[in-house]
Amino acid sequence: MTAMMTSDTLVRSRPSSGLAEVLDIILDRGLVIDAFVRVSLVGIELLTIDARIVVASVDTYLRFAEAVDRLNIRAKSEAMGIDDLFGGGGGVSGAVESGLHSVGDKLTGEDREEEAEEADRE
Amino acid sequence: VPQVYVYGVAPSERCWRPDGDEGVHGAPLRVLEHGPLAALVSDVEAEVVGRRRELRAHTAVLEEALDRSPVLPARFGTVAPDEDAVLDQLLRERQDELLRVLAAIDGLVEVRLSGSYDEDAVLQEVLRRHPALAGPPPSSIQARMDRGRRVVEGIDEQRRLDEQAVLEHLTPLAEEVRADPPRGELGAFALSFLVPRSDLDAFDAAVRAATAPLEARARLRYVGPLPPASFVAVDVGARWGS
Repeated sequence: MTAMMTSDTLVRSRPSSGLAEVLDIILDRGLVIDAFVRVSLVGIELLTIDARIVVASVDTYLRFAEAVDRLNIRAKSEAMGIDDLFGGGGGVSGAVESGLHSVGDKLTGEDREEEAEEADRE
Repeated sequence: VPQVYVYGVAPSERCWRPDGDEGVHGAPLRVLEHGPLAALVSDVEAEVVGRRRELRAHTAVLEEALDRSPVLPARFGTVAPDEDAVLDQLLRERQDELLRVLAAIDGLVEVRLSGSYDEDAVLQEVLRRHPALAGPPPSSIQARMDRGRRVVEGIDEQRRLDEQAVLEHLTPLAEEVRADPPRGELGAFALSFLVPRSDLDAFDAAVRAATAPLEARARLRYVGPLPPASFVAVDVGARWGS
């Protein structure tokens, strides 16, 4: 019934193919029979389970501060246009900013690779 | 000596009858019955440790069963010492309670809707709502931390707004709703809904409408139908999770 929908709308997946999303429910909810063993799950290979709520830390704050700076710089350089960045007296700061911009691009590229790896592990 | 892996309990009359289907570790599925109750089980010899394949098998069995009758799912990894234990300690001793819960969830299923933000997209949204965060990078470490803290608060605010908007749309269509804390720094929301199976198509459409405005900034996932494990609470003999 979901197969006819176009790919750009949100489609409901069957639980066995959307396992990561329902892992908490499968592992933590449901009938527990006291007299029966519940396996210890020491070898659980699903790393998604450790991605529980993250308490914001100094590292988180600094990371997000950096992330908004990167966005601000990108927005500014897009608004100025490339000629403005390198023309006139703004040469030094322009070069610094475009350098930062390319660092930002690299970081984003790494994030994408990590995401692809995560998807592979699924 | 094999032990007995338990997937869940269903009413005998309507319980799925596996025919050559396999469960965890590829073992053949079978049904144990005591009067009006049936348990879906399979033999298990090797240890169940939570491999993806095991989780998938467990889930696939419940999926099939739920297509035919209400099902009370056992938590993943429930193993009984032998068949008699399932028949006596589960189906016989807890018959009344299990029948009551099965009747209560008949025709109802759980669906799960979760989202996680695209970092740049949610930060753009935070900057749009808080232009003060858009200045040049502060130089002192204290000021940088302070900016970061305000960004994190901005993301929290976005979470509340987005969760609220989705719930306003969908709560009227659900029998019950459960909002879990989203996972990770960029988790947006994690919502379970208890929905009549007969209304699933309408609910799907409502989910698409409710989430359409979020697609630009969040990766959305929508999974179901599941046995409604997030919504059953029974406390007589058997213990129920969360």
